[in-house]
Amino acid sequence: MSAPWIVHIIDDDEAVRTSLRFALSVTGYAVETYADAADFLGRLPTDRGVLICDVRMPGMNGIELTRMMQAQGLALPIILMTGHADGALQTEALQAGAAVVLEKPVSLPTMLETIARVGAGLG
Amino acid sequence: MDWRSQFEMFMPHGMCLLWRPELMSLHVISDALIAAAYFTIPFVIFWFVRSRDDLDGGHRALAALFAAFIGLCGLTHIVSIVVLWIPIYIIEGWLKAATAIVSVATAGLMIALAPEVLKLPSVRTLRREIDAHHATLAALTEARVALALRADRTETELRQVTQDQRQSSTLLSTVIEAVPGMIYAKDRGGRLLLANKATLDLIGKGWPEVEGRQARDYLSDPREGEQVMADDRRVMDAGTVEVIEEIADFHGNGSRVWLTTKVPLGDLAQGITGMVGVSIDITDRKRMEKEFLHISRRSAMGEMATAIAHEINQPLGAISLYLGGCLTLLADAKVDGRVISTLNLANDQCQRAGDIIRRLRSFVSGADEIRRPVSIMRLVDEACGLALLGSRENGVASTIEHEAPEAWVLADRVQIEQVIVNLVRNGLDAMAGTDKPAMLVSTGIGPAGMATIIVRDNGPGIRPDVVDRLFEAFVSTKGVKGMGVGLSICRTIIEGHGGKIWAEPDDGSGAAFHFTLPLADKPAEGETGDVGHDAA
Repeated sequence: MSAPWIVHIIDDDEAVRTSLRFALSVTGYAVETYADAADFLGRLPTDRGVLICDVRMPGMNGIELTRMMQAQGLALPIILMTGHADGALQTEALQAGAAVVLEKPVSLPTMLETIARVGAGLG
Repeated sequence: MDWRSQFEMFMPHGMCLLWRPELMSLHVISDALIAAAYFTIPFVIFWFVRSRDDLDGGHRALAALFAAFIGLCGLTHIVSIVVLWIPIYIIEGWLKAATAIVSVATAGLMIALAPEVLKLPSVRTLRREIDAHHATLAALTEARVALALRADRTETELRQVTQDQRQSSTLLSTVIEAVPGMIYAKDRGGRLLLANKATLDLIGKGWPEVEGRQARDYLSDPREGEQVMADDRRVMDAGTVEVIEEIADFHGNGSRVWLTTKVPLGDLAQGITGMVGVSIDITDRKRMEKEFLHISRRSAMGEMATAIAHEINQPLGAISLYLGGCLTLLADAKVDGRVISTLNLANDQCQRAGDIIRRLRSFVSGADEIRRPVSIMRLVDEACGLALLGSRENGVASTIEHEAPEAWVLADRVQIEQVIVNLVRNGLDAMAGTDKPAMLVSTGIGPAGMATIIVRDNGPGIRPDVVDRLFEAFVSTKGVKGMGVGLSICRTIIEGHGGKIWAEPDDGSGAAFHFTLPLADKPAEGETGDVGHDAA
């Protein structure tokens, strides 16, 4: 299984980053990882893709990044991950423009299903 | 001698004067004037005596004698004139004799009365005395006026003081009645001397009924009354002000907590005559303080749980994804089927750990709990499966007994599993030094529609001094190893479910923890009963 687009992962926790890269890679996705929002913005992708981003990060957090990208018209579907998804945070994230909010720990089948759903429109 | 013969025998006295007209005239005129004057005097005396009614008998007699003496003297001068021409010397002689008698009597009486008369004050003396009296009278009058003025002033002052006193008394009673708490005064024997409206309202009786009564008479619980009276006595014996918390029940509606200030009346040197007390109901405040403490502890635990959840979820997520990746890699490879199933089990446990953390966090932060009908047998079996991991290797003989395998309870599965794991783990810890450690977990149906779960060990048991405080937060029997929150959380969970949790010293050795949960109906096929692990 492979997709013509890249999955971008932003998480300050290296274990999360590398485990996700490993799991998605063996499933057939092309994966690019970034330690934080600044790193991602510095190497802003031009191709189509899906962004998986942690909410709580040093510097710009996931919701702020989502809001900024929406404002700048960077139409990358965003999956936000959080350690604790309470109602208020979920609402805020979706209003900011996130496609989905997932609560950690996320099982691989759930992650794959979500990526497939979010990336379905990308063709 | 015949009195008529005198006319022939004697010559008129004029002859002695040789009838010389100038000498005759001198005698006649002088005697006449003397007689006139002498006759006037008795009349004056008579008038004087008549006018002075304050004279005593002696003075009156003296005055009469004097008048007679003067009158007779006057008469002798008249006769002296007559004898110039008519020689009535005998008559004259007898007249003089009579005059002499009266004169001597008068003189005698005067001598006798002289000391008396001497005592009579002179007009000047009298005047002086009268003046002195007038002065005294004036001084008296002045003093009386001054006294009257002073009396008037004193009366005004008294009226002012009375008014002031009435005002301050009104002020005091208004303040006493306006205060929302109780104000009362008692004598040395603890008998009521004064009680404000709030106090009487609480006692529920009028003043006449409670005047002079003691706390043991008007409080519902006599032991509380005795305690209040002991507090009163201590304050009065020591003579110092005390602020204490008292417990008193006035109407049998339950004891309330009162913050009481007790002030002794008088001082130790002069003697304490009683005490004044002010009490405010702080029952609600105490309850709120307790709740606040509970909430702040819970919010601290909530913050901690959130932080822990975040930190643990990261590696859990990583583990889950690594496992997922491995399973993907192995899907096409030819490997032992047990490897795949074991990796799946590991993944399940990973999700379960995330589940537990999520529930724990939502529990401590007071979020919604998910209660569904749960099979008590499955619940206990699964929780024990987790809690007893590794215990068999340590020589622990574990038994699980289900008296009613079909029973269901209404519970949050994760929370109750936490309780069971906690109790079983505590038991295993307690049996660390036991020869033949044995754990018995049993379920059954108790009274009042409750299921009972008992976790029994054969460890050293529970010390009697901690058995009552066992479920309080931060009480640990494990020394430095335990935080002492486990059983406290267990109690909160079980009571939150409407059940009870308690410890009993086991019949033999060891400890037995009991808890109950409300029974539920088994859900019909197809309904969502929480029967096992459903991956998040």
